[in-house]
Amino acid sequence: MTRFPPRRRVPEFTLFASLLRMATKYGFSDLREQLVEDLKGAYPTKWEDFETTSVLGEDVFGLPKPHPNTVLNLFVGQNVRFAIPFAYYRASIGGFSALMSDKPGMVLPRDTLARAIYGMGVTQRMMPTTAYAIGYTMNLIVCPDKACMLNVGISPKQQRTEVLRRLSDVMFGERQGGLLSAPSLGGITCGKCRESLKSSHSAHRRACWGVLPSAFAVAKSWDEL
Amino acid sequence: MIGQESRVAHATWLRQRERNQSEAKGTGTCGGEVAGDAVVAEVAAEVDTRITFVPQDLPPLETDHSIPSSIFQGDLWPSSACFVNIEATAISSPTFSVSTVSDLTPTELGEETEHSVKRVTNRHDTFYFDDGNVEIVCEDTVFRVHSTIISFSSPKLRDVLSPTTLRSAPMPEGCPRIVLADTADDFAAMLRVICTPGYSHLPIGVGPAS
Repeated sequence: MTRFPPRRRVPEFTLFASLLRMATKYGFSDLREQLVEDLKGAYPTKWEDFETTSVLGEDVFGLPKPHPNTVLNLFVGQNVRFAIPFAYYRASIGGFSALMSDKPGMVLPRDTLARAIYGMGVTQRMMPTTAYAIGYTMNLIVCPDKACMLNVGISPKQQRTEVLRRLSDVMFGERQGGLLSAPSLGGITCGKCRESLKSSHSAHRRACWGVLPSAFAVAKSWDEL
Repeated sequence: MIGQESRVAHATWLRQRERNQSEAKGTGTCGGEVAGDAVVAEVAAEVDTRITFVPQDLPPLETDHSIPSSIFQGDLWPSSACFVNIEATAISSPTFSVSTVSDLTPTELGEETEHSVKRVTNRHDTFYFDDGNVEIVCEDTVFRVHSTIISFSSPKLRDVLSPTTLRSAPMPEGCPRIVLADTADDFAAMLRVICTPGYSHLPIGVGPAS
């Protein structure tokens, strides 16, 4: 018999955290399973799921949206293992200042903070590699019918500069989404070149995705989670 | 390190307690100033003693993975010996850090438990059922519920609310009172799930469907 009937929506974070803590502590296994199940869409463990999902990370919770550090603390504390690597990644996107926040509920324990900083370093070291790879791909591109120059109206040099600027904005800019976010390349390339660049960038994003569990010292690979 | 003011305040509290005890015994205190100085010295030694509280009722984090030792090498990181080996613990209830003995209130020291019972005055608005058979205290809020219902799906609560435990519990309001370490909000959220029929239809969030 299922004691707790399935719910329709993910509750706002405070209630979710309360229920998860109590379900874990007092062994309400049905309730915990339901709560954890709610997270699986927003904290995917497979690259294919990550590519297709529309709601990621803490956005799954109702308003007010929790800080990534708060979510990370909850998942680590309640041992929601499959979601921990991506929660670490979401927290690390904010950089040192966000990771070391001293606001109530956002303070990371020493062990968690050390893992987050180490993982942030690992993923950030992959960014220049990705940028170089994209640039290398662009140099190899020979637009088959010069569609880029004819339709877009910019020189190859301008095009390369613009692509790298957008890539950099995504990775390091104010509206950064981190290494896993794909830059918009519309308006500066023709369709064929855009596909080539996206394919190249996607390969590097996938490589970055694969190292998240080990980068944050949670597991050796996603398969272990 | 606690400041001199805190020491004096603590000494005052100790003196007051000593006086109360003496009055209770009918003996009185002789040489108050001398005794007071002794108490200050005692407190000074006491506050320098650092103690650590580790929550005992929380399950350990089940992970064997540790941070590669290489990250602790280099100029920016202190040596690994500098890191305190903190047991990973679940954040299932609020934890607090106590740096000195003087930071503790009498209740936290385990004394004057009667005072802590008297302090609980807030009955929960929703989950205080007059026909409940057990009172559960979380922080400063008291819930009165039916033990069989809330322990129905939880083996751990069944242990906490076993007849043996209830028989030995204090009964300030006519039924056994159990003190739990959870926050009142957490416990109320759990009761909301347990005691509310049709829980799945409650408009409790605005997130997307799972």
